[in-house]
Amino acid sequence: MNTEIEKYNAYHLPKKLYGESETYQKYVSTVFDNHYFSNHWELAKILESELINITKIKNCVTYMNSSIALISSLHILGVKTGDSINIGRGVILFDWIIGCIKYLDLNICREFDSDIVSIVLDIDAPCGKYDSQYISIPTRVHYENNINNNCISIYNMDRETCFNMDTGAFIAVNDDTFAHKLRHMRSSYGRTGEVAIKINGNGRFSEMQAAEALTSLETDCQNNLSHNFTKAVSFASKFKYKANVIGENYTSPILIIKCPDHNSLVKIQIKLDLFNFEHESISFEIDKNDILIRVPLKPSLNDNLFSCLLSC
Amino acid sequence: MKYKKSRCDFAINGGKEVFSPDCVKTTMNLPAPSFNNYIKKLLFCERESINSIDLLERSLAKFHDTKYAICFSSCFTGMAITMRALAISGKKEVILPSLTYRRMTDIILWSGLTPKYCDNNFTNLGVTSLEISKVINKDTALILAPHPMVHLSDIDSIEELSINTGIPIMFDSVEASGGSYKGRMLGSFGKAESFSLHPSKLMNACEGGYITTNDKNLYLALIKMRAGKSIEYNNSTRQGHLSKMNNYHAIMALCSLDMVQNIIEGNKIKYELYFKLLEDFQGISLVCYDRKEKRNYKTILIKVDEKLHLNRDILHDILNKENIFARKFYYPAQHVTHGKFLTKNYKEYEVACSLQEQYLLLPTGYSTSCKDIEIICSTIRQAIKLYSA
Repeated sequence: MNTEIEKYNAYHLPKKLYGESETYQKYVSTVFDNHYFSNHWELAKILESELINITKIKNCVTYMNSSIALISSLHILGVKTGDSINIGRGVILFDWIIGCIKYLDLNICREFDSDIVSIVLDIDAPCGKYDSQYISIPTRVHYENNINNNCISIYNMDRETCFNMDTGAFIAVNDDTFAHKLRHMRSSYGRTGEVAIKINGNGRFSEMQAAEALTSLETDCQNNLSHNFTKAVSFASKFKYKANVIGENYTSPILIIKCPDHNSLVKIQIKLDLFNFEHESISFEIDKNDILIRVPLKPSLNDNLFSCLLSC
Repeated sequence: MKYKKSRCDFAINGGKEVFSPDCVKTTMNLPAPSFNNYIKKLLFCERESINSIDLLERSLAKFHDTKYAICFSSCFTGMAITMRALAISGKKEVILPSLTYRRMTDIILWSGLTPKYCDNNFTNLGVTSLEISKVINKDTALILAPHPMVHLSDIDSIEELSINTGIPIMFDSVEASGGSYKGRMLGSFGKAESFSLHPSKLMNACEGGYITTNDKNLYLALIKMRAGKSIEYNNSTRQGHLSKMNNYHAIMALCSLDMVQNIIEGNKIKYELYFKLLEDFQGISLVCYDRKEKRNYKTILIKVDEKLHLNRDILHDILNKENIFARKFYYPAQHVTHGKFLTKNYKEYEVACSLQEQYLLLPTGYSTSCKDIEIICSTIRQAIKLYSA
């Protein structure tokens, strides 16, 4: 029993806490001075403005966590139990995304069809390549995004990301109507307010979360970016195939490896499953005669894990 | 004190408000530790490598005298996931009283189930087995019995009904947190009980909620579902979604738990003052807590006599204009707002319809001092006098 519980309690292992951090204490003292702790107050508004500056997307709506952000977005899009959603071929999903899809009892379709809601796990920055509304779940934030109004980007801000928060998320969307619905659904006024949403939720992002995120943006984010970029260059130099690092304009860099022969793909897929690599959200893309393997460089992708990848 | 000598003195008629807009009085509890205590607790957890959520869960289980407490990102998600776990396989309907927390239907829908409203009980303002048994049918998956503000629903009769019918019961004990029934702390009745850690409640975690239970299998199921996993429970697969509590929220909750007795004592002082000041009011009666049991005293609920010329809605509007943010008790009933889930007609909800027109919540908690309470009661007294004439 204990082992069983510990396995799931692993989600609760606290990351580095900010007790000693002057920056964190500065923000938290503001929360206590305001005596307002819950949804969308002074610090959350500052954070959302900061995120808009970073992403260049018109609306950045903070949410309690990424699961609730995704489920809320799917509800707003009108997805119902038994509906199908499109997920691009080759996209390897995070556990939390699979959990949300199963929670809503949706069918996964791997062939693109404009009639059904699409989810795209974008390793790279989201882009406007789809005609209908779609949800993008990028693993990093591009500093100069330029997306169309169809894209709803859900950014996880937890400790696996450069934001290094305990829990948190934000949804970046240019569509004002969609953003309006998100805000209503977040604060639970969807049904009683002026915006009618068929099902309501609760995704409130607290002032304490905002204090954590702002501290992270001021301290950890730049450190992680710099550290991961160095790591990416180091990894690229070790790889026997051609490898490029794209990094400067992202909150964390990305390593793109070009494989010259298609047979490698089969081998790598099997090996990746063995090492449970889906948590690292490695994706594949066929580009003319090449296969691109995109490896996000997160804090958890250490030398040992990368060596395993190289050995494939 | 700014007395109102005529109707024209009331803000609703253009007079000056008794409280300025930057000093509004609300019904929200808003308890909070000091900044220093919060940082002290945070540093303690950091230095000792303490898992704050684990510590909070153990502390809450002790507080409620239950075996297990499981924390969630919010009470909303905790309740939705627990309902999904507890619902009888293959059945969809959750029975709940129509007049209750306005988000309850949303929680049920979020869990993938369907609400089935019953009428409220006139005496306890919540529900008893009598109202529930009238709407039980072959598709009933779960009974959700919320404890209303101040009073409790009829725990004994509902538990007995649950045993006789085999339908699991979950108590929503958000408003009754810290209370007891027949000397036993709330937290271990039914299959599970839910509690909120929202700032407006007894304990403040900024955001969060928790479920208490003595059922080990349910506890294990909820731990996994909270991690976004699917589980086998009661012969079917149940899927959760990731909804862990934030560590910083857990630290805030631990601070709140440390001071909970002080919070209750502070609430009680304000309740006693209302009790004294409203004692001889014609047409207004304070809904009284059961002094033989433990109570949190965090809610001040009054009943406005229907025979008064000044009805509840007018009194509500008058007070709101004075920046006294009184709130209508659970208004509107959910059979009104979620009409598509009605089975027959409104007559089935006669008591809920009547109750929703009579009760009013008055300010208390962090924003309201004893001096403020005197001003609020004086304003009510003058309103009744001048508007009833």
